[in-house]
Amino acid sequence: MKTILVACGSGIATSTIICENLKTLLADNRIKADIIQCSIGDIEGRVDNADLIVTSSQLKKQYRVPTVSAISLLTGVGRDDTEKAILEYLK
Amino acid sequence: MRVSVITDFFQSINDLGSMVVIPIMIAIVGLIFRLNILKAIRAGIMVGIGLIGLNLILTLIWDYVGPVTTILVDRFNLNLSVVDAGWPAAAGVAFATKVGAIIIPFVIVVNLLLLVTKLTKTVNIDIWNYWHYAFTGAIVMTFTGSYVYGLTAAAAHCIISLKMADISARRVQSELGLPGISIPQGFAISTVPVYMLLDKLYDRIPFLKKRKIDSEMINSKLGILGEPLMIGLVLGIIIGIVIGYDFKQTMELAIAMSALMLLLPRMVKVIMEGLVPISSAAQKFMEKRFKGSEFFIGLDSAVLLGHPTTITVGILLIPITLVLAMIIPTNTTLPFGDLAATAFFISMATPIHRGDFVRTLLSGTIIMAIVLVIASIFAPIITQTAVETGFAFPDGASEITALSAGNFVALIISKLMELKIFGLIIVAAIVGAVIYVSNLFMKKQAVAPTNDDSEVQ
Repeated sequence: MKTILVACGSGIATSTIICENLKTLLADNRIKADIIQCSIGDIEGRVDNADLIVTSSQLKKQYRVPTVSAISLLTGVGRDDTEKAILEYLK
Repeated sequence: MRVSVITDFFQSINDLGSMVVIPIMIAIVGLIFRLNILKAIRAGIMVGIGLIGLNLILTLIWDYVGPVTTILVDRFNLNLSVVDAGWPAAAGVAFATKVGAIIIPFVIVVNLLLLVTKLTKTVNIDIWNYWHYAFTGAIVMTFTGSYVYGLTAAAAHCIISLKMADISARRVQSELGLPGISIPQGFAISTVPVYMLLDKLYDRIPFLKKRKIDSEMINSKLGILGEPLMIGLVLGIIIGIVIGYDFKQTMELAIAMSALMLLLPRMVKVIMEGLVPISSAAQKFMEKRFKGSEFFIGLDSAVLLGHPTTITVGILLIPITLVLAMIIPTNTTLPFGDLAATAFFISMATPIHRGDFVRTLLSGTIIMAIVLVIASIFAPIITQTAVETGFAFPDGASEITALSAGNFVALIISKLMELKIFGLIIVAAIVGAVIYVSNLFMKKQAVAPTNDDSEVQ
C-alpha cells in the first residue's frame, strides 16, 4: 500500500479539502492508500515513508518522491489532469 | 406586542447557548445548499463537537501558560499578560458567534452582488477563511450589541478583501505560475497595501536593490524546528528556564505547550471537517455561475506558502516576534499559538517583493510589530466575545488574543463602528473609496506592459 502526504500551509485548511477529494478519487478507482495530512514544514520529517506528495501550493524544493500540485482540486479548473497525474503515480 | 414576541423568540434562542445554536444553524445552512438532511445534521454536529474540543483544549492555556504570564508580569516587569491563542482559537470563536453561524451564505450573497455589479473580479471560494470576516463582525457585535452592525462590519471587511485580492492578483498569479486566481484571505489582504508601499520605499534604498541570498540553505538548517510541536517544546523549555521553573515544572510547561500546538489545530480540523460538505456545495454553486477567464478564483493564502523565501522568513520571524513582543512598549501579548503560522503573515510579501529575501524579512518584521500592537488592543474584546459565546474562562484567567486577528482592517472597522450610525457612514465611505482607488489602480495596471513578470524566480 502506498503512502500519500497531503500538505498545505497549516496542515488544516486547504489540505482538508484536498484530502476529501483524494479519498473520493481513490474510492472511485478502488485504490487503497494511506493519506497523511500535514503542513509543508512537516514534509521534511515525513517524506522518508511517503510515495507521493500532494500539496496545495507549488513547492520549489525537490524531494526524492514525486510531487503533485493540486491547486486544481481547490479551484476545479484542470481537475481532471491533476486526478490523472495522481492516479498514474499510484499505479 | 409583536416586537416583544420576536425579541422573546431570539432571547430564547440565545439562552440555548452556542453549543446548541451553532450546530442547528450550520445544519440549516447545509439545507440551504441542498445537502440532504442527514448530511446537514452531521455537518452541524461535527462543528459542535469541534467547538467542545476547542473549549477543552483551551483549559491547557489557563492551566499552564496563564501562570507564566503572571510571573512575567510580576517578576520581570514584562507587560505580557495576554496569551496569543493562535488562529485556531480565533477562527473557532469567530465561527461560534451568531455572525459566524450565518457568515457562509452571507458572504456568498455579498460576493455575488459585487460580481453581478462588476465591482470585483474575485469569486471567493475560500470558505474557511470567512472566519476573518466573521471575526470582525463578531467583535463589532460585542461592542455594539447589534446584529446589523456586526453583519455590516463583516460585509465591509469582505468587500475590502475582494478589492485587495483584485489588485494583487497579477503578482500572485505570476508568482504561482497559475492564471485566474487571487487571494482574498482576510488577514493577507490587509498586508497588501503595506507591502506595496514598503516595496516602493525599498526601491529608493541602494543597499536593498541587489539581492543574492540563498534562503534554501538557511531553510534546510532550520527545517525541523519549524514544526509546531517543536516550536512549543523549545519555547516551553526556554521560558521555563528563564522564569526559574524547576526541572519538573519546565518539562510540564514544555510538553503542555507542544500539546497545545498540536491539539488546538486538530480541534479546529474537526470544525473544518464539519464545514467540508457545505464548503464544497458552496464552491460548486459559485464555480457553476462564474467560471472563465474574466474572473479570479479566490483562494487561501496557504497556496503561496511553497516559496522557499516564505518558508525561511517564516521560521526566522519566530525569534524576531518574541523579541519584538518584549521591546514594543504598548504590546501586552505573549506570542505563542500563531508562532506556528508565521509564514502566513508574509505570504503576500514574497510575491510583492518578487521573492527577495531581505525585503521579505524586513517587511515581515514590520508587519509582526504592527500585528502585536493590534492583537494587544483586541485582547479584551476577543476575550469578552469568547466568554459571551460560551467558552469557559476560569476566574482570573489571562486574556486571550490571536496574532492572526491583528489586522488593521478589522481594527479600523471595529473602532469606527463603536460610533454606531456615524461610524457606519464613514465605513461605507471608506469601502467606496477602496473600490474607487483600486479600480483606478487596475486600469493603470491593465495599460502598463507586463515587464516585471519575467523577474520572478
